[in-house]
Amino acid sequence: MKRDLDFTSKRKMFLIISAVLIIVSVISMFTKGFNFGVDFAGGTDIVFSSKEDLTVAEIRVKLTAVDEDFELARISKMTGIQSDEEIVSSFSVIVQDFFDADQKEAFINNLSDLKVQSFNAVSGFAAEELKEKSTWIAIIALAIILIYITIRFKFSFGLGAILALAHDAIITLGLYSLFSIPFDVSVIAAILTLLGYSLNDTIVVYDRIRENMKRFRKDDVEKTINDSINQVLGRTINTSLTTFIVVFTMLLFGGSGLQPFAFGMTVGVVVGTYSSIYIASPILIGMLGKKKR
Amino acid sequence: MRADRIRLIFVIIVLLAALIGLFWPTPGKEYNSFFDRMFGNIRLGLDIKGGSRLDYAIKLNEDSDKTISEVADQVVVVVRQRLDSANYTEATVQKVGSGADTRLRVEIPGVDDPALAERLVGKKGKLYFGEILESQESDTKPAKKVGINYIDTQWLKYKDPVNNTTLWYLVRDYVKIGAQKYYLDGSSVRNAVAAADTQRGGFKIQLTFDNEGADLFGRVTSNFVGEQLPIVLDDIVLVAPVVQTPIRDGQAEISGSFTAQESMELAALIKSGNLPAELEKLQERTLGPTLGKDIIRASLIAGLFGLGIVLVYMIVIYGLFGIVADIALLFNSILLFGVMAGGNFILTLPGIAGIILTIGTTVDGNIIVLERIKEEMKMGKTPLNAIAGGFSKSFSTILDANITTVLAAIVLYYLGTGTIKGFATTLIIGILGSMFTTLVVSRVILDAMSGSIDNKWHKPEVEAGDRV
Repeated sequence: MKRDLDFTSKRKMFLIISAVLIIVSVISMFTKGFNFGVDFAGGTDIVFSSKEDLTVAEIRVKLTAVDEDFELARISKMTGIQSDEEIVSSFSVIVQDFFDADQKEAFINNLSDLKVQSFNAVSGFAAEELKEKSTWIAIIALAIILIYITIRFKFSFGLGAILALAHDAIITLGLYSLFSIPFDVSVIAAILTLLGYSLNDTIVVYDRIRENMKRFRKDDVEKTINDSINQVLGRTINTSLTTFIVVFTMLLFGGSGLQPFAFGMTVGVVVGTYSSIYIASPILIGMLGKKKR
Repeated sequence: MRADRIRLIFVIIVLLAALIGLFWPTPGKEYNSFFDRMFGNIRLGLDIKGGSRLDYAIKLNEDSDKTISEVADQVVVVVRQRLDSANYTEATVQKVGSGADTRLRVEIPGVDDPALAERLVGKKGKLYFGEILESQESDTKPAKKVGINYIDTQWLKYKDPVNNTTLWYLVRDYVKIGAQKYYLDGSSVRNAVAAADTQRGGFKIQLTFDNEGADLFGRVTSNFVGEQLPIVLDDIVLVAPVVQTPIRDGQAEISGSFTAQESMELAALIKSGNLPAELEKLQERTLGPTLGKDIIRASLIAGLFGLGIVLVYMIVIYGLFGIVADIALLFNSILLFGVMAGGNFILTLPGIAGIILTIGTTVDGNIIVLERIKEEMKMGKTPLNAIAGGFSKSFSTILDANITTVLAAIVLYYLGTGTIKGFATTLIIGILGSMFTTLVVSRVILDAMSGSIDNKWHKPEVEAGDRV
């Protein structure tokens, strides 16, 4: 089988497509914002279950009767909870108040037929701290990756990989914002997983480029890079497809608990594969080309 | 062929070690179902098995001259004692963070309403010197005594660390001399320190009372020479020393051949019976057992279904080679769970995400190798040479691709908090395992198979321009 698909000559077009996606994502993040869970926004997140098949409106009435603050609570019906036969419907309820021990006890004691399944209360202080910590983790991890790739490859490869990672992270975060997917601590795990995955993808291509550049010194950079992408294409497609299958199954069957995570992974696999082929490698042409030509 | 043998023996040893880690029964643990038998040895995080995690900020009293970190150590001892005495024996209490950000973290598994535990953690604590009327050795609490002489008395537990028995003391929370009641509580104790007991050996505790307390203590001890004077914290008798001589200078010693650890803990408890700081709740995560079970079930179904499709996909695309990749995948799963169980690591919900990523990297590693071997075979090499060439050429790819991820995961492990740490844990174990299975396990199987592989590209014409 002879593969000679052209990935590099239309690179300007793909860079423009990515630029548009990034701009849309950034605009959405700053105007629409995220559907932050209590991990990041602070507040209290409670899962109730009932033996009756209730609607969101009915549950709001019941809760407001106990505590007026629930008038403005974010309430959504949950799926995928069924191991207890007595439970017919379950709801996730988010309020901005941080419940202390006394408030919580009073509240739970006044609930009549609703059962509390989980209770997460995060103070504004703890939420701020988590945001700050997550940012630092991302910066330090990226810096270490950049250093490693610079040592094993070249600085321009490291830079290319980091740009591709930023591309993946921004677009995935943008989609969380656009579709108002609940953003909790598991989303951080999803973003990190997809970055690890995308990085893996990028490095496999880079590794082949590094090898081919040593073997075929005369060839121009663009041809070497395009050939390298072609040579690893079988692996890229098979790996991406298998990973996609796993995370997509999780999105379909994982229930409300896993969905925020599975969404990021499913989107991330697609974006990550695209960026390794169309962004990370073509970007090198500009950076390496000057020296070679 | 030597290298082959060594690899094979190594693979078998690793597999056995993983199986032992996974299946070796934990003493005292019951295995009720198939699921238990498979995964029973793996410690589950509170976000899966249900339970409560409470984080508190420690607010120092204004006149305190100690650092938060020092006070936190005392707070941990006090809270631990309280939870133990209320039978929350599986609860863990720990100091997390450092410097001004030092926190108290209390984790209580399997409780869906932690209200009682929460009250125990936050309360100020009451320490007093009382009077013992009777004592009794028993595993259960003796019946309450009634009568005019037993007003204000209650049975309080004392665990004798030497004989390992449980004693019950009938204690009054004040000391009666004649008709006069004397209340002597923790606020009179200015200091309590552990010190080596040079006369009797072991360790002792030195108490210093403030002026008022010294006066009161002198009066009490002079009336109780030869009798026990119990020190009670939160309805538990900490220690019940016998008064040797009247102590009027406010300097008391409790000796009883304590170990260094016991004496330090006792000193910390006596000194800080009144909790030395305010605890302010920062966050609480409570998960009921029902929701936890649902999460496990959903992720198991999703995981097994995904895994099944991947196994089939690999065989469809790569045929015989696909089976090798599938074996590698199963091997790495056993390895991962074995290390989790044997190393006592905690599996959290984000940790399951890490496992799923690991499936991806294991399959990926094998795909990289298999594609390389195909390329080598297209060059007309014999299967055995193609396999050797394929592995040596993919080594750097697999190394670079995985080491970067491991580095990022290590950052996450050291800086991440709570359940996210579980993600880093499974990721690091899984990726190191996937490198091992791809480079060693798959190699062993492929080498063994090489005789039966037919190279259909043997003696081909290399096409011009097709770079291999």
